[in-house]
Amino acid sequence: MSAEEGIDDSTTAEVIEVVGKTGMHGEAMQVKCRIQEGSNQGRIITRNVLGPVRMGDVLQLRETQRDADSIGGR
Amino acid sequence: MSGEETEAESDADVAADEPEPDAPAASEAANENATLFGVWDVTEIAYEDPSTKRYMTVTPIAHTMGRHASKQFKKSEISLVERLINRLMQTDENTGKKQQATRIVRDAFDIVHDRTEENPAQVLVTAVENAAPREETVRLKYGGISVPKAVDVAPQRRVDQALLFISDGVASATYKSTTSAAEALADELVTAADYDADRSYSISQKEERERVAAAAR
Repeated sequence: MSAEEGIDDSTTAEVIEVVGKTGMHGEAMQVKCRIQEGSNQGRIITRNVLGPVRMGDVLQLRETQRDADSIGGR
Repeated sequence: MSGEETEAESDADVAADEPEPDAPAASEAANENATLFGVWDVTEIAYEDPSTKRYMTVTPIAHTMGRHASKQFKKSEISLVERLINRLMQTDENTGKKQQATRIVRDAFDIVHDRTEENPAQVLVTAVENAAPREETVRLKYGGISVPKAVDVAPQRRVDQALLFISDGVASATYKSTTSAAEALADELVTAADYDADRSYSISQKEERERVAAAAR
């Protein structure tokens, strides 16, 4: 991306689909996002996101290896 | 108003995929030459972080009487400065003292400008970008014991959290101390904008959150 100084070790990923709510109390959203930079650019991974998200949002991922599955709770 | 200028400078593909920002621009276009607190120009603010950019607007108006609580994402149309002011009015004994909070922010901006020679609105934006956590934890229960699990953070929540950290830092720096609130806020903004983890409360809070999250992957 463009010049980034404080953001050292994170990659950006754009939200392309909001799948639904997860978490014990429905506090997290499950989201599909496309990685925009780095070694696996263009890969689409599923992530859990805390807080309000909508399509087109840009997430800062600190690592791109993990492919989060839904958070259940008992 | 952040719409046109920021989209122009960001990468083309990002701008193309982005849905239209929900047009707060129309009303502000009328007072192009207005300045924040009558001093600061807010038209030339640079947003480093492509993530939180969409959720930060800086307008010359810092008191809109806006009611956005019941509409999702509308709160990001309020000026970042006003959101900081609203945050500073917490807790209990300060509720409703918006004039006082506004004065604190205005004084703090003057102090920031004296120290850094930069536009304090820009300092605030950079501080928020630096203090926004990227990863947090949610609590999970596996058969009676609770286990933290790391999740990513939505951009709007990152802005919210950063403002919370900043105002928390101001509250704890002023409570039972002789530091004035404006002084404390200026300190917090300058150190957070410099990414000074030792002196800034908000940066240390952010790093704490991310450390916990990294351990909980």
